[in-house]
Amino acid sequence: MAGALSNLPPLGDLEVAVLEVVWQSECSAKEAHELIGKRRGISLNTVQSTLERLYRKKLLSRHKAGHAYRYSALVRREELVASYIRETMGRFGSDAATSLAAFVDSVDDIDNATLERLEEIVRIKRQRGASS
Amino acid sequence: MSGVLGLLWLFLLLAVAGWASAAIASSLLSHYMFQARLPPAERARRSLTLAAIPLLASSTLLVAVAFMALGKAVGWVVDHCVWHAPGHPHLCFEHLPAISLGTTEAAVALTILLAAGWRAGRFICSQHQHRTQTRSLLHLSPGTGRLRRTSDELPYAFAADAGAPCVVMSRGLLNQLDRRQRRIVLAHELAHLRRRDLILTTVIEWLLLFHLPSAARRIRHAWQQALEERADDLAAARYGRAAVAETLLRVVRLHRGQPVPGLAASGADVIRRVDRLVTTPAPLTPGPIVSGSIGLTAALAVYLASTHHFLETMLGYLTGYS
Repeated sequence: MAGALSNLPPLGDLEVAVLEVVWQSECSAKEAHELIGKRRGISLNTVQSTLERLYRKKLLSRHKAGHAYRYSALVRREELVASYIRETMGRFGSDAATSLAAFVDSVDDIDNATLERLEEIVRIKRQRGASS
Repeated sequence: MSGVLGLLWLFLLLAVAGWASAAIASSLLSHYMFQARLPPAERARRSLTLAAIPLLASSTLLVAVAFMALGKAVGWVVDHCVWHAPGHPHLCFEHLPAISLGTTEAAVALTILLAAGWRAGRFICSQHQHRTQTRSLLHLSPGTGRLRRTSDELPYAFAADAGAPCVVMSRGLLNQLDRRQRRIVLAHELAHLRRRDLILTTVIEWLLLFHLPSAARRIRHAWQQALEERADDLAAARYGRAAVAETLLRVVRLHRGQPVPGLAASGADVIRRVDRLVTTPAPLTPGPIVSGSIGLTAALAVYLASTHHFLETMLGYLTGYS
């Protein structure tokens, strides 16, 4: 399967739902519609268009089987999530990300001695808190 | 037409002069305004104030001068200068300045407007792209309510707001923290959402577009640090400072040796956060200087507008029409 995507396409809710089906196993538009179309109240045409869009976004591959295409995933779920994480949380020049706030940012500059010193202080503080 | 263009050119020069003065002042102040012992709420307030000053100074000056110019045109202000020569720049909507714009003036004006438009456009595009990708990531992260989980083995957690605010935690983090630590991380991230930190960060990033790059970096870093410390305090109010510090250190340990992407280098200093949680330094009482600075900026701009002869003289020297 392909590695991390370099040019991440945006994904809508329906596209992800269709991807979840294809990640389970290769399928045709009709099979995908059987699984999610009725539950969501969407037509076969809508599912077909979604599969076509995902194919053009290079997330799916397809081959002809009879009269219909069968689709399979080009990127695993974990790889796709990892790519989005890298894009949304990664460094992109001087542009600051404003739509998310991480619990811990980059820890590149933290040395072991500092970490151990702080861990020791915290351990003592917790012990004092437990004994008082 | 040339009179209107001449007036617009004068207003542009005023805007740039107001912006430049305030940007330099803000840049100088940003070296001294963010002492670590100040409470995080105060540092956040100072970040927002300093970020707003250049835009505020420029727009207040323009509004005040425009008000004076309008006042002269409708007769509120009977104050037409008798000392200046006929070709002198005149900030008045009744008597438009007799300035003809040459190629140089047109090129400078176009460059300024294009540069400002380029920065704003680039920011809008990058934020749109970022929000689109965050939204895509959230579609891929199952969960109910405010908590979403990714199947990623890398340890991370963040608050996200691309339409529907929520907290995202990776399986890698959830599996390696105990129950209390997971709750602390969740409490910290929910504190960001409750205080609308991400929306305020968008506002401050807009304001920082009008700053010198070095000042923007300092203010951004101070802002991020203050937000993280404030969220730490909210989590600590429930779980204790030592527990929050311990959780932070645990996550730092998990990040080390892992290719976990971090935010841009302006992100918060983790060691300072932990240090603050465990040592609890005596807080500094903030003085009135920053709280009064917005009022001072506005008052200064209005005062300058009232000394319009001085402004017109300076503009005359600048444009060669003295």
